[in-house]
Amino acid sequence: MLSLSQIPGRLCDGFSRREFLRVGGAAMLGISLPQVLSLQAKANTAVDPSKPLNGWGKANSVILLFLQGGPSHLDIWDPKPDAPSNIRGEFNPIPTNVDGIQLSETMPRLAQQMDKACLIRSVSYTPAGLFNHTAAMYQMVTGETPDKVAPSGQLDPPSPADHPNAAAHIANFRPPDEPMLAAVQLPRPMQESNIIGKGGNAGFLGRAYDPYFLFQDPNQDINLDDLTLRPEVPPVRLKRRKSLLETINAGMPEIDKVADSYALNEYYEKAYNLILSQRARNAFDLSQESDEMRDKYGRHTFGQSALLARRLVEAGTRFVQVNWPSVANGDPNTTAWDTHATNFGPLKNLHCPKLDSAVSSLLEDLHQRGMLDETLVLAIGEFGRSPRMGISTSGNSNAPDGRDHWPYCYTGLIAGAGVKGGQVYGKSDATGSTPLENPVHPRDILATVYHTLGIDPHTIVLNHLEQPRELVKGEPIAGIF
Amino acid sequence: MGRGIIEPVDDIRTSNPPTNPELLDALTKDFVESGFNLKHIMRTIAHSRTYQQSIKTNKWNKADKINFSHAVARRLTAEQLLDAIGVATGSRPRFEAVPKNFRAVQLPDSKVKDDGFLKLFGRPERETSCECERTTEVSLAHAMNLINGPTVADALIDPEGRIAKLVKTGSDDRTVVEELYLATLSRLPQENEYAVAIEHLANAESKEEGTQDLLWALINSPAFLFNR
Repeated sequence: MLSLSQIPGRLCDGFSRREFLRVGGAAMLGISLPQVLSLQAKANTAVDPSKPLNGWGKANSVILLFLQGGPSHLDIWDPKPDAPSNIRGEFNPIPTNVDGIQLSETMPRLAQQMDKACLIRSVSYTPAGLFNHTAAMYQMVTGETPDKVAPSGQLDPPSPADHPNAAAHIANFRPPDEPMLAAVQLPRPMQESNIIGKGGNAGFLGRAYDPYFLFQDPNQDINLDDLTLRPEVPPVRLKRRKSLLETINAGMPEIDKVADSYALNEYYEKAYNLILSQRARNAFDLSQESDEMRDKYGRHTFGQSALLARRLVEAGTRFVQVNWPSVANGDPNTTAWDTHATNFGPLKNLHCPKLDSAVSSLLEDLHQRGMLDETLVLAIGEFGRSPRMGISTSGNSNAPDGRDHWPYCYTGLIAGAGVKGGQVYGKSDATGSTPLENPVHPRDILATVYHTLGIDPHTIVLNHLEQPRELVKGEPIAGIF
Repeated sequence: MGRGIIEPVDDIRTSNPPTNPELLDALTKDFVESGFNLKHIMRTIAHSRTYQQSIKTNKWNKADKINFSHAVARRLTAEQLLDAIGVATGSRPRFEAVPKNFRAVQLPDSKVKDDGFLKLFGRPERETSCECERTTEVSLAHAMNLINGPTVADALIDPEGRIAKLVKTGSDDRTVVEELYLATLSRLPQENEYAVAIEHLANAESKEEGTQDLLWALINSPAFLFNR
């Protein structure tokens, strides 16, 4: 049992798979689970000085800019100027403020913040489901392949049996220190055609761990009525109402059981705290930012969402997921990343300027506020796009200058929380088709997220069938710290 | 009843069989024989013992979700809930560009605007043709809206609403409590419920405030929010 004291310091409840196995072994030695847990509680306080921390527990919060639709890695993060013309595309590489790192000309402002971020150019996996979007998105945010994929490649709608997304596990293991929303998702759900919000919720962990969904456009006025205390209902009156409601409900126990199955009472409890504290209300109030700051992030849905993410993190939210505001629909005039039909014009004129202003401003702003050291920032899609133009990899048809889905090798940006800036991790081949060095599975990215928050990625939780499940079957990417 | 004999109801194929084929056949036959009379089949279903079961479960049917062995509570849909709040408070919601006193369930489509309540509570945007677009989940945002949002709060203080009228007529406390229970839960209060409510009214700053609080609490109780 001495091995327990060597577990690196933990910030949370739960126990890892390895510990779980040890518990099984310990039982044979006549040591009960409560005893193990109490030993473990003692172990919690001891950090093993011989182990480098590697970002362990460095993050207080995580901002995931989830670029749903699948942005073209070659045209943004991983330019290949020496590749044949049907691969390299129309854009030229530009230098960045870090020697030896180039970005595509579509990202001029990010180029000036490159010293703060790490590009993982070897993200690689093979999703289930003929790489349709939903299966890939589910993989990205939950770390699991979906249980069931229809022959069309499509998934079922969200279900309570789904694997929880990272936000839910984080809300569970590292609830906020303040009366604040643990996790927020904005400004719209993840979506592919009929399937809306798959992977976007707490799944088997229970609805109470769902992120708060702010599906409004922060570039317009956000409606904050629900969070703003009304003049005729001051806190003392709200508290009186609450206790009256609880008395009335207690008189109807059968119906209160229904409320339990919907986690209604937990929601009400959280809602009272949020309304009474007014903390969330202020965080959502973008009018408290200067015009200059708002302009910098960009006066568009994605830019203002990124700014809102920073405000939420400042107020104590652990996990903010900003979903790219447009989804695949085949119309080259919307800013959807799913550029089958036409790639270069929309990227240059519509999509990339928005991505560039939001990501670069977020990195600069967090840095200037001294928040980057404790905030992990991720910008990544569910896949990249095919290096060769005009070919079909997903069964979709593609225009001659269109690019299809490509999960085998693409790029994600990661920054903050101890991640060394100004570096490229992993390497893609001459055409950006396959990783040459250090391939990174999306599971490893999630494991890194948990790791920086001080949550062991191998922590076991029980699913709806009481089966033990790891948070994610991946390993933190040690080389980026 | 919250679930089709084939579920989802619009997904009819060999690999998605009905849970009770005999029942489906019997209902089909009855429907055809009635000359495709919708009122007839609704009456048949609503009068059935199965439809009228309680949400109470016992140890044998607790786990059942597909055989209609007990009722399953469902949150009211967006339009139902908005209309129910309108009836309970006596303050009808107002929509753009439709006649006054239009109910939410009568709205022709999702383009008709309200104060955002319908969207929040899952009225389909009609982006797809799938019934699955409608949601009846419960979330934190819903709780916040019902506790503190403008829909319920404005309806409670509506000068034309039920409470304003109750206070104006000077009804005694017992009558007030009775009317609010009938307006929200469609039943009379039990004696202990009278006692709790009357005590609250007695301790409130004013009769009006106390009545508003009581109606607020009833609207926020799962007994009101769920179809059961």
